[in-house]
Amino acid sequence: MRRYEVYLLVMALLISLFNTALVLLNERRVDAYISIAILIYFIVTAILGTALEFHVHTYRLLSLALILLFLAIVAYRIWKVLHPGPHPLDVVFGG
Amino acid sequence: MEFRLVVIGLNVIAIAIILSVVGWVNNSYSLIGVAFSIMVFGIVSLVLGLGYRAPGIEFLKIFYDSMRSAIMKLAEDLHLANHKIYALPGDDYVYIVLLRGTKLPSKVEPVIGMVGDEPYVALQIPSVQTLREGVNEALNDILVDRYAIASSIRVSQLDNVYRVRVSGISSDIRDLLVKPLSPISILILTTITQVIGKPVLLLNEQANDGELQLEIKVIE
Repeated sequence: MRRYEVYLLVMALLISLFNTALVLLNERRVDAYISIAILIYFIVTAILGTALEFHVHTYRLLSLALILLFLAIVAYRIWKVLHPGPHPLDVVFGG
Repeated sequence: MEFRLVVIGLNVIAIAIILSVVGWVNNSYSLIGVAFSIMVFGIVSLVLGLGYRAPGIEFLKIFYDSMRSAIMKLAEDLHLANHKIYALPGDDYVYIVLLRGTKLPSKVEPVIGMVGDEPYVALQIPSVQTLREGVNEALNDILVDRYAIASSIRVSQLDNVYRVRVSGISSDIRDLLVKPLSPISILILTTITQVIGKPVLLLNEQANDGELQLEIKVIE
C-alpha cells in the first residue's frame, strides 16, 4: 500500500468517525463538521506527511484554502458570540 | 496526475453535493454538515490527485540510461559484443560479469579484469539482504513485498535451469525493461546467486507488455 493511500484511508476513517459522533450528538451547526474535517486534514498531514509525492505548490494552495475557510468559520463564531442576532451566513451554517 | 485520486475526488464531491441538496430540502443541517465534511475529503483527494507525481523515478531512469550506455560502450571497446551475463557471489558483493568465454574469474576485479586472455566487465553490486530461504520466496520478498516492482513472480526449476516469470511490472518502471542489463534482470540474477551461493548465467531474457521471462542456468 502506497503512502498516500494510507494517508487518505486514515483521513476518511477519522472523518467518518467524527461525523458519526457529531450526528449522534444531534449537532446542527454545519461549521462544526467542516472545522473537524479541516483539523483532521492538518493532523493527518502533520503525522503521515505526503509532501514528497506531491507538487509543493498544489499542497500549499490546498492548505492555504483550508486555513482561510477555518479562519472564516472561527470569525463567524466569534461574531455570533459578540452579536447574537441573525447573520447572513446562518442560512449556510445553521445558526 | 494520479487518475484514481481525481476520479475518487470528483465522485466524493458529487455525492457531497447531492447529500447537501437533500439536507437542504429536508431542512436537516446534520446532513448538510456531513455532506460538507465529505466534500472537504473529496477536495483533498481531487487536489492531491492533480498534484501527484511518481517519486524520483524519472531522474533515476535518466541516470540508469547514462550508466548503461557507458558500460555497454566499455564492453564494445573490449570486443565483448557477443558476451554472456553471469552473476557471481562474493562476500559482501555480488558481481555481474560480462564475459565472452566460459571460464569464470576466481577473484573478480570490479569494472575491468582479465581471465586468461579474455577481458571482462564486472559490476560490483551490494548484496541484497533477505531472510527468506529458497529462490521463489526470496524473489517474492525482494521484488514484490519490498520494492513493489511487480505483482507476482513464478519460479520453476528444471535440472539446473531456473525459469523466472515476473508479471504485473509497475508501469512506472516499464521503461527500464531494456536489453541487455535491465535493472530488474540484474536484481533477479543478484538475488538468485546470493540465495544459492553459486554463479549463474543468464541464458534468455524476454520482456513484453509488463512481463519479464528469464532463463537462468546455475554454474556448478
